[in-house]
Amino acid sequence: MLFNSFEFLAFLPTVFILYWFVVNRSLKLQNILLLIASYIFYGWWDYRFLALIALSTLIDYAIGLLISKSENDKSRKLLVTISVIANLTILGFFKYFNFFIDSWQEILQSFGYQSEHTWTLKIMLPVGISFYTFQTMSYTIDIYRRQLAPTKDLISFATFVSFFPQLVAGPIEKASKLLPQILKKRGFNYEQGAQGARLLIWGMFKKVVIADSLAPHVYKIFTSHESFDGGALVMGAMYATLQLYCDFSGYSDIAIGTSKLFGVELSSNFKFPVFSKDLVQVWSKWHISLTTWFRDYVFKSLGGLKVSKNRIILNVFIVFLASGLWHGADWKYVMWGGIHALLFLLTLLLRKKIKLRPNSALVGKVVNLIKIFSTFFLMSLTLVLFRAENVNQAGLIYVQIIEDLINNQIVYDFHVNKNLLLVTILLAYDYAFRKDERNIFQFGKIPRRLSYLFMIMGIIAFFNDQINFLYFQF
Amino acid sequence: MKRFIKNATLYALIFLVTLSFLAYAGFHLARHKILQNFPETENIILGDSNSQRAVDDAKLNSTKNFSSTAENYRLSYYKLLFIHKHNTELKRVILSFSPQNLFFAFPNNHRHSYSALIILDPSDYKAYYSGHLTIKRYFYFLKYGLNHVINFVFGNEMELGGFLKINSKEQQFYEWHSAFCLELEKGLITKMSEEQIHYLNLIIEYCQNQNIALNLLVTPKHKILFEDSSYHAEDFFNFYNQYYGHIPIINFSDLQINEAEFQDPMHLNELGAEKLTQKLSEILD
Repeated sequence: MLFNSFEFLAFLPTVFILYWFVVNRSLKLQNILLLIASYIFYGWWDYRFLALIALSTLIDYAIGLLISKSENDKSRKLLVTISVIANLTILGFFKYFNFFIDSWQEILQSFGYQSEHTWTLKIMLPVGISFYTFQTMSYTIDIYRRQLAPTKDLISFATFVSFFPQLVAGPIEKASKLLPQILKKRGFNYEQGAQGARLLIWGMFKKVVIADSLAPHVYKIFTSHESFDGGALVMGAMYATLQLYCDFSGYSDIAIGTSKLFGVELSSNFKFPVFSKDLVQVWSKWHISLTTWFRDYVFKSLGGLKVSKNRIILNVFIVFLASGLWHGADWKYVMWGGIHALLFLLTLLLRKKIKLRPNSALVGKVVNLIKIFSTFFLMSLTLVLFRAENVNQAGLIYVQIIEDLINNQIVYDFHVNKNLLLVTILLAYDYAFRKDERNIFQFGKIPRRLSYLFMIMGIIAFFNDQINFLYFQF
Repeated sequence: MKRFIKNATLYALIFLVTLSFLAYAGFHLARHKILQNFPETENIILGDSNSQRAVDDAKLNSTKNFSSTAENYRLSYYKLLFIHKHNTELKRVILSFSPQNLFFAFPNNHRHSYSALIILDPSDYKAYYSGHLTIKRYFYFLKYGLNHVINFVFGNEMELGGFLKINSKEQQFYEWHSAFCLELEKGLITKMSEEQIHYLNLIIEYCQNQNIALNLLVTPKHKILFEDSSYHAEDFFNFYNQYYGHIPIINFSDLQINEAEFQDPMHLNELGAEKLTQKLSEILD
């Protein structure tokens, strides 16, 4: 079920009313309701893959209990390894099987071996598989690290795995943060509910009005790049970055807002990344839950900062390459991850070597603006690789931009249009909300109410239930 | 909780009333804008995306293409009444006429049709609209009305329809055909639509009573479509000969169109449109 659909418009109030008015006296019943609602929410898309979530749930529930019972370090390690392998096998089969077979065949072909058979299978990618497998893995790893006690309550655990607001596109929650909330009785809090409703409106506005309005322009650029000059391609890359940001952060806001309505707090996933001053800052503000997951469960497992410098550099590359591959079974994502690893390390080096000390507040502001714009520009350029159909197309786009730059032909036909206006609105609101991403619309009564009206009007006028969220494909 | 429900309901009600008012005003604005420069023309073209993408009215004398995507004959009929009321020069109507027009009626609540019908007469939109009001329909009333307000603010043009030029690079031949075959498999095009025939008859009757010439226009289709039995091409021509043979037909089904001139098996692109418009111009002259 999509958040931007009529079904969800009926689904959410129904579950909300049942949750707070019918089953509100019993935690068990609240969790059963959330579990049923979550399975309906997911099954609406394809009920067959519910079995996969159930399987993932049962494996980690059982292994979690076994780890906690075992005092032997070796067997604990073996159990957590089984859990990780089981989850990665499920993910690998559905997401990466064809990719690895294709890549293997290409390698063989490059050595002159022609395969007569194609070994790839027609595999459908279950929506959200990358999100919930990472979430369940965090449970067994946290228990193994003795950071979390396992739960014997299967219903609550299944609710934690499938909690519908964040099931298909995150934020990826660490078990140690979400599970205790599921296990605790929840009461309604007016402020929390109001914040949730505001986040719902803002998230929906970002998705339906801004992201979906930018989508046709971006689609055109990336399907027929040869018809555009360098200037238009650069502008297209910037629009693509903003589209992805609004689409994904919009989803996250809706997820966090919906969750608040049920008395559950999810982690922040975006903290105004378009105002980042360098690429290191970007990664602390963009898709935070994934970055945190990789930091806590991969980077730290590889030794964290306690190893040699060279090893840290290697580990940063491993984390970024894995994060790239997490986004999709394609070499373009791996390359995108690699480029970001390189830029991340270079930025850290530059931070150490160059320390700017502006002599006045005004100069400081100008320097910051330049930093923000150049970071956004760099982000957009790397995103070409992410959004292009393949590495080849991305290469052609880069060549076109560079050629036009060399020939001094980077000109953009700048005129005020709907997209530019929407981007300005986005930046203005983002800037206004920058102090607390979870407690937005902190204006006076009248501007706040006018903002709601303006946004709801936009959501209705631009509504299109045919457009999926971009991150569903991951 | 009570406070939350109370406030949420209050907000919802106030917003609903305000937005309904704005949407209603939006349809009036759209109608007003359409009428501002309404063309006085002798020939008009009505119908669905087939005629919308096939006839470039800028290249024809005293002709205006009012076709729109997914337009059913119900909408074409009310468009005709509206256009005739505001265009006294009208002498000829060219109506898109292909198998899908008889064997598949775009539903009444099809979004485009719904919106256009309300523009034609905002004060009496229910009269044009059969069936009961549902939340979904009301939502689309709001959506399109508010869209008109936004278009008005941005100074965008508002039209009842018009020629849609399809770039020859944007060919979706095989994707479209496989999607269409899926529709056929679902059995959507199985029997004749009584509603379409009813409104076709009303258009014919109106033209006869008002002394307006009516031509039925068959745009070219790719052979993979015409040869597909589930497209009912043969039944369609038999039906025409049996019941509508007295209405002059402009049949371009055998016009020489190569694959590069199609957008997909059912629609022409700019190259195909140029060729067809040239032929139509010769006929009209």
